Amino acid sequence: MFELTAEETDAINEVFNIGMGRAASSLSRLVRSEVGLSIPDLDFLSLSEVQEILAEGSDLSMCAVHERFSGTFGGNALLVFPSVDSLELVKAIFPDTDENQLDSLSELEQEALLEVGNIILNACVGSIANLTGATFSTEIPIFLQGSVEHILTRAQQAKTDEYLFMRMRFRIQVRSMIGYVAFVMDIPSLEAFRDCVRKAFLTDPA
Amino acid sequence: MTDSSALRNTPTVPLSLGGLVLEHLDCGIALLDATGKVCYWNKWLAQRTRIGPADALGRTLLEMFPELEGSQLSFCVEDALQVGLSSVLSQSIHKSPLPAFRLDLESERIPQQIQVAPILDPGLGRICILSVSDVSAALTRETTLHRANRELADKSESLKRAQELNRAVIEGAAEAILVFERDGRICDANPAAAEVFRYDFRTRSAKPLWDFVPAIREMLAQEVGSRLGDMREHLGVRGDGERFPLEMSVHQLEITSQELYTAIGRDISERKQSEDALQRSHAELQQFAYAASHDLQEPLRTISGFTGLLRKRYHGQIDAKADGYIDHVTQGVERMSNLIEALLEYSKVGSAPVELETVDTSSVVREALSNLGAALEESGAVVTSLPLPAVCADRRQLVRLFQNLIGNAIKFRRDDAPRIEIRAHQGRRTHRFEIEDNGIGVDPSFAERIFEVFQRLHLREEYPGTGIGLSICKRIVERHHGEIWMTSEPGRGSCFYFTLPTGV
Repeated sequence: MFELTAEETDAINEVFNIGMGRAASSLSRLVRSEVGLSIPDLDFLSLSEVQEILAEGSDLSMCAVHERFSGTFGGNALLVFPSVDSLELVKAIFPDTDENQLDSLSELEQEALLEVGNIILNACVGSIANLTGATFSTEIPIFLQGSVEHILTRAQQAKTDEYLFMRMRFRIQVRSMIGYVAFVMDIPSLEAFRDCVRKAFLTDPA
Repeated sequence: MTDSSALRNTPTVPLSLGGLVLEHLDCGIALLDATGKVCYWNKWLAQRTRIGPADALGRTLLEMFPELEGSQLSFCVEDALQVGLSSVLSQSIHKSPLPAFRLDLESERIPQQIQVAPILDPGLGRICILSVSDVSAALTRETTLHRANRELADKSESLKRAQELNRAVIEGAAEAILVFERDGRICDANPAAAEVFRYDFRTRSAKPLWDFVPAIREMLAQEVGSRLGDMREHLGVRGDGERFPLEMSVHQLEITSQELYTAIGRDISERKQSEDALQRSHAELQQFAYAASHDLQEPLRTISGFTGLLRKRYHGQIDAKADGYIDHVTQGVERMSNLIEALLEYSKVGSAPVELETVDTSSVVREALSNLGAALEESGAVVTSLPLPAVCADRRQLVRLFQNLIGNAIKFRRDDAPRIEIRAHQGRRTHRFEIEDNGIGVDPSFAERIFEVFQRLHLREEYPGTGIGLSICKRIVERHHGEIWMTSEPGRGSCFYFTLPTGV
């Protein structure tokens, strides 16, 4: 199990908080309404732990935005929503949506959700790049829908991959949704990530 | 690719194969170099933005389209070139970021989905590819889908309302309504059915409908579709075994998926009871009328006998006044005797059993005419009759019927000799008889009243009679399940009509 010191955890938290700030302002501009994004907790977890959390309380299908990134270190970034929350999010983005007729996402609504997820994931990756000096290239994101297992399998390259797992809270107007951001990386990538964070935040300037 | 000129689509520089492919894609492709300047601009973009490659190359997006200042597209290009991030811009959020227009409708902007992705080129460094797709088709699909969804939702809503309404009507109906399958299995029953049959159809283990209305099984087995819908009387059996009369109609439901029937009916115990009571009291009344008129005859005969004696012995012996008194008494007695006789006949027609047989109506008319012999001769009446059919009737009553009607025609004549015509028309189920005269006629407003007992339209002195003859006719016809009525023109004549069933 990959572990971090308290200072490293704080630093990574800070990186993502800054990223979320940027994502929130981008989203606010898009939906012309104030958007609040926060990360209540961040953890390193194994696949089974992630599965457990995602499947918690519901075996409903999930929606996800999946983006590969490579560069100083590489991996897969995932933003996962329970289907109910994804519908809520679409309703929040499109206030004119007829409440009654939505029980699944249409093609164009999936695309809108893809863009929202893309903005959030890019904000995270961008924030890491900006603050640590790491360089990245991300691929065009794709939209996934299905069981927790299906989604995680698509984003995982090896069984030993670790998850940097964050639970996020979205607030748009009166609506509030829960989503999850997961960075799936192998140990060398995680170590590279930690090194970058250490270099950027924790090295004694002297 | 180390030199962007390999892709540069200016007329002077030939395109590589990859460049040719990009040139002919059905989406817009642009490459921006590390400084954001266009280094490739495909035909799709050139045609739809109306900016040819020669004008696009070497310029930034903002230089070409100042409206993009501060747009998400600009941010995404910046992110791609500076940080290496890929982005998507969805149509739902941005509609149509680039001013690209449809080729067929030139004023209409194309709804777009744009992808921005960084490309790390060893020679050029980090450049960026922009691909623009036309999502009109998806948009149309979605609009159609939404409309269909909405219509479906509306339809299912109105269907739901209709169902609720039906349900409410059925639940609230006073009639017992049962829905059942061909084998008698009951699928549904309303509260009224539960009440009538004293059985909770919805929770208790199902008994077939035959257990409640045995006759329906037979009806269905005979499969007489046209008869199913009729409301008919059946014997009903309640959940506790009690038997009761009920009135019920059965209909096959017009649905394709299943062979279902409804039985709709009501408990008629109460109605039956009052019908029985009515019949009893009617019979008693008839018995009373018969007994009364019969018993009145006896003392009347005594009075009649003795007034006859009185007249014979003492006429012209007391004084003229006494003779007048005796005459009055004699006339009164005679009239009373006639009345009582008519009443007796009337009550007999009502109570005596009708003996049905096939009767030749022509012979009936002959008999009636011979009974009327004297009156007929005296009046000089001419009776013509077309051939008349045979009917199923009580011969004696039929003779009476014709005799009364022809007798009336003779009685209510004008000064000239009566002409009476008798005709018959054959119908599907009944024969209609007509007896037309040229007599004094009746004001049509009396056409119904004249069939009532003791109804007279004329003074006794003008036209003698008891006022009961037509009532007897009516009774006879009704006892044969027929109808009687008349039309008339005062001063010109009347026509009486009645119907009798064609056969047994």
